[in-house]
Amino acid sequence: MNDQPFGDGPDTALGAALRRALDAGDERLFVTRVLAALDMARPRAWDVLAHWARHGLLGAAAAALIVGLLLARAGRRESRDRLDEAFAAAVAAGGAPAELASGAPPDPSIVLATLEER
Amino acid sequence: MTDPAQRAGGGARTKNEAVLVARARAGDRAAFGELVERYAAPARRIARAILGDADDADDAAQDAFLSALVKLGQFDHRRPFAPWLLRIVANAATDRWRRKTVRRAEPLDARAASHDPSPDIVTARRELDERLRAALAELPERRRVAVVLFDVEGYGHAEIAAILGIPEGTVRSEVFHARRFLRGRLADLKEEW
Repeated sequence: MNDQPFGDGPDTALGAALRRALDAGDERLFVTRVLAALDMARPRAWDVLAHWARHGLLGAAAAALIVGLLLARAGRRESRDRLDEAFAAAVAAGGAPAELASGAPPDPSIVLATLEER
Repeated sequence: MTDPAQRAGGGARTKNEAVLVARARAGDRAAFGELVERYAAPARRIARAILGDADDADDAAQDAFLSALVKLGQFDHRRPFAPWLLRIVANAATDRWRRKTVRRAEPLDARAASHDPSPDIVTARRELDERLRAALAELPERRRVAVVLFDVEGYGHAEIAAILGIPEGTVRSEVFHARRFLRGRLADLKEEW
């Protein structure tokens, strides 16, 4: 026992007696109890939302992918249609687009080859 | 932390503790559980030193752990975790004690404060425990906590001063008076120590 009134060291005898008197035991039970209280206190809604969020994110990603593919396909078709229309208009106007864009004299072989592809 | 020798043991433990705190702060339930397991014993002892009743003490310790989890964002990770936690425990127990006294307007744990040993206490050790708890209950709260932190938990005066938010000299004085009182109360049972 440390009988020094202002002793710097702990009084081991008194400390051991106090520890025994204050110890409640069942630490595992207490931990379980605290964790159960935590689960009760923590808003269950967060867990539900987190669960939803995981599924939601996957769904949103899939939907975005599908929409993206559809838009890309529609865009490709639309631009091809526009190109076809412009080309047809150019042909109807009496010449190939290259010929219209160029200031040089027309090359009949290029015009013919283009028309043959159509 | 529980044991002074154990407390002195560790850099790795402190490092591991910092990881646990960080994980708990990030919402890791298992890490929080590990922290509770690690500090359950001292937290419950401090709460019991303040409240006297074991069930009330466990309620207060539980509140303190949950409160600590909420406040983990405010914890300065460069500082040791245990004193910060024990301060929350002491505050939770004190709050509960105040609510209890307002509700009941009765002295602390009348059964524990009684000097007559309960008839079902058969062993000398149990009698000592009862007497010690009763004697502890007679001390002012701060004195109780100071002596438990010093002699049971192995904290130094400076650490206790930080936990209780009082000057170090006051801690020394509180520990001194608490020891003297407790030794006096248990003088006739000295051979049982």
